[in-house]
Amino acid sequence: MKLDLLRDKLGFRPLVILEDRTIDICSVYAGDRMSDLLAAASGSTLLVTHLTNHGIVRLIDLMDVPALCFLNGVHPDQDVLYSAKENETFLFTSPYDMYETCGRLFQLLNQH
Amino acid sequence: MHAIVAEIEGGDYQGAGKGSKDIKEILRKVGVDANTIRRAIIAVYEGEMNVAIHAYNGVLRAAITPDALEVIITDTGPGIPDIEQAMREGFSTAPPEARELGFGAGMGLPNIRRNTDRFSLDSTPGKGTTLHFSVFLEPGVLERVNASAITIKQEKCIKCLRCLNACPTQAIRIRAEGPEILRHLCIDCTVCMDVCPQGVFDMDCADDPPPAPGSGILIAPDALFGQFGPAIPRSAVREQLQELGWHEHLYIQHAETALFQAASDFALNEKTAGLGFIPVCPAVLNLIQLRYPSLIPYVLPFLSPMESIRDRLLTGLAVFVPSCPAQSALVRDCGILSPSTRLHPRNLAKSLLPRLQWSRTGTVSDDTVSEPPPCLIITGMRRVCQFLDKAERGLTEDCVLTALYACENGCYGSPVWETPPAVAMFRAKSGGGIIRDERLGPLYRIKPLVPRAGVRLDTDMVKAMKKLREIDRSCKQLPGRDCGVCGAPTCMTLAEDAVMGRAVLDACIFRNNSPGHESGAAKETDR
Repeated sequence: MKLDLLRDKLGFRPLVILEDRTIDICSVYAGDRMSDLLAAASGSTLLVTHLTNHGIVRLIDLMDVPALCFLNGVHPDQDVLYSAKENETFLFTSPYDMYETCGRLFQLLNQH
Repeated sequence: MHAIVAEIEGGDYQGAGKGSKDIKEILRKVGVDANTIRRAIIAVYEGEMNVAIHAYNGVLRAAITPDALEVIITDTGPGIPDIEQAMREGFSTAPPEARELGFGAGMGLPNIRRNTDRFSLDSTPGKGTTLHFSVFLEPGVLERVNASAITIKQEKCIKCLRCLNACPTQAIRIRAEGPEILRHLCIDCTVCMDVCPQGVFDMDCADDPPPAPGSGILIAPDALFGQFGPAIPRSAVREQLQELGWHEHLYIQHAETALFQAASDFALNEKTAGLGFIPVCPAVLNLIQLRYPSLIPYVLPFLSPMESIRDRLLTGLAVFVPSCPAQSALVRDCGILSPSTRLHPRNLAKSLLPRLQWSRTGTVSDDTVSEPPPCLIITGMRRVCQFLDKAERGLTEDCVLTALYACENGCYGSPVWETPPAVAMFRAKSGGGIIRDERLGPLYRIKPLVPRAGVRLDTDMVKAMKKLREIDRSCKQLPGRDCGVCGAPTCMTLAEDAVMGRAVLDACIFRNNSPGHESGAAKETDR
């Protein structure tokens, strides 16, 4: 599943503009515990989380996450955006809550 | 070697993680594969966050070599009162502000355990905690670290076949040029060293340069005290060690006693059900991993005395005097940040002997081995195997605390010593005063023992079954005398070697000499 689909089909808002559009997502992990997110992160995993604090900066810095999705239309802190740009991580915010976001992602991932 | 030092402040959730970032950059520049970097970084970051969440302050020290990333994180803080509980997934004592940030879910330490190849944890409540872990950067390192530490002088071998018959795991083969050890089967016990009349087998210690006396802590076995004849007290030996320049020495038997005490407390707290093995002899642990994997859960969760001391001495040079190859293998490669070296017990005894002929009394305050709490002690490989065979069938449920030693009379009976074990034990145990050194206490075993693949015929089970059938067929062509002349201990092992490509069936002299191979062999079995 290409990341563009998140914007085009699900209406997720991109928070950083990046050039590379070839990244392919094979799995999605949703959670709010940092240890779980660290354990689940991989080069082809989209992480979905409520967390928007500085811990996320480290997650982006350290784990080569290709894309992160925040929930309920929430915007993360400024340093998260900087870090994402620097590490070329796609950031989205979903207008839905976690349940609905995951449901829609699940459907989309199964179609593609 | 590339070294990194980073300080971590307690409560600084934003700053923690800088060390991990630096390490990641270096690993990436060196060209380590992405998955290994991922594992390493998770471990380091979790370690850093632990300090930020729980401690007052801490230091991360890391070293990177082509083989491994080694990390030591020391902190001053409240410490961990119950390590077993702390290792449980989901157990957490983190403050609410850490939980709000997504930390403190009780997954930190388990996450480190999962992602590292070696991991030890030492904590003193009220003082602080030390984490020590390594991630191997290449797949071959693990095998090198676990490799057996028995050396062979093939030219000395007279092919008497004693070692062949004595080896408890059938790891020895006699080839034309001398004995060979199948390293995947070797458990580093001392049986071959003990039975060989020629001294073909020895403990691998010589590859290290002899350490200069006075340069570090000496860790010696108690059997050393029993090697210098009657009327030489412990104190005299210790005094001479000091004169040689070893100002600080620790003895493995004290650590053993501490382990017995901890194991007995553990069993008393009813944490064990039925059988419980005290992990005292590393060769026996190897044996259980190789031949009795079903008994692994019954090994009490402590490191063996040598491992505990190794993981506690993280700073300064440690000079180990192992009394058997199994102990030697444990301290062969302690890591980069904790330098260590090995000294052959024979060499140490040799340098002490002339000095002790002149000095028969010592003025150094004496120490002794305090009596360990009562438990069942089984020594000697034959008896150990016999016991484990029974234990595997559930016939020894009443033996709640059992210590098993590969050598007779425990480490006093190692073949590196010349004095009879019982005599050495008697002499070493006479003295006064008890040493209490916190470095001698046993450490909790965090990375559990895992079965060794040893005897597995093939990683693919279908292929393994096929090989098993072939072995069966080949074995029927052999006489079944288990004479050992072919170089393998039994006909079955020769058949197995032949199928695995390590030997040919024609090595059997009976099979070769009989007219029409197969019928001749059949006659032998009929008889």
